[in-house]
Amino acid sequence: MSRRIEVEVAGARNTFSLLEEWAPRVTAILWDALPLEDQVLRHGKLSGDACFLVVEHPSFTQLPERNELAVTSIYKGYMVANLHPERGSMELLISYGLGEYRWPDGRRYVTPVAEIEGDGSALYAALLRTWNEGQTKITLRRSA
Amino acid sequence: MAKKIELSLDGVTATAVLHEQEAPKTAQKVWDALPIDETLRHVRWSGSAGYILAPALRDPSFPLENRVSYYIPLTLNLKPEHGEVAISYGPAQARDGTGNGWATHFATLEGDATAFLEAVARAQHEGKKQLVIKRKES
Repeated sequence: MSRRIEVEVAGARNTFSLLEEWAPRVTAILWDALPLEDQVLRHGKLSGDACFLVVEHPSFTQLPERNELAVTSIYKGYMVANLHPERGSMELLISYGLGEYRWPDGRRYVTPVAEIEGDGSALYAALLRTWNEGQTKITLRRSA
Repeated sequence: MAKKIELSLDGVTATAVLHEQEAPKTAQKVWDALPIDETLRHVRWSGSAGYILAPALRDPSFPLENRVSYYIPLTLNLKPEHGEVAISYGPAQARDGTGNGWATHFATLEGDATAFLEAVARAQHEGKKQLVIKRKES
């Protein structure tokens, strides 16, 4: 059974199942780094309906240098990671609609790490609100 | 003498020159629609830019002029199909979920617009803001 994490944004909570078969190393390193509390969550400006946070942790220097399963689409309810082992950080993005990971010079690849479980409507609404109301806080923790 | 417009956002004002030579129809359409008072949001696909949707400028059949895809900082660009005016403060491009698009570059901010562009940029972190555009009478 997949490990599960809880994502909380402005009072809205959902569990996500880690995509361990697709990204065993990244999900294991993320799991070991939890909890990541009160991180700054901002709306993206290039990737569509998606918010992002940049997290640092000493163990993130052990992240793979290449994506474990490279994708560009960020489907609704999915969490993806842009890996930066050289900086000991990763950028995590969560989509609430139509998303594709892009930079100013075009599409880039990311690694999918988690998929939402159940009704995500409250979480999606909280993510969308960052577009109109500005940045907020996000917590990622292990789910019991 | 070139027509100028005044933009006010978050307590900061800037002036832009309308490009009546390069985009005559669009410049006139914008001039006729002033004043415009709309909500500015940060773009979600296009990069370093804020935008408004102005119903008075929406016309899917309106021609593009002075056509651009990349938004150069300090420029104002209209996508007439949406009535969307984008103001760029850094690398930006007319984009949506399907790919790259086109817009009319119809005006450019003049002078030191640093504080104004910083206010546009803050929309990403602070959320929507109200933008007022009016004629600048000489």
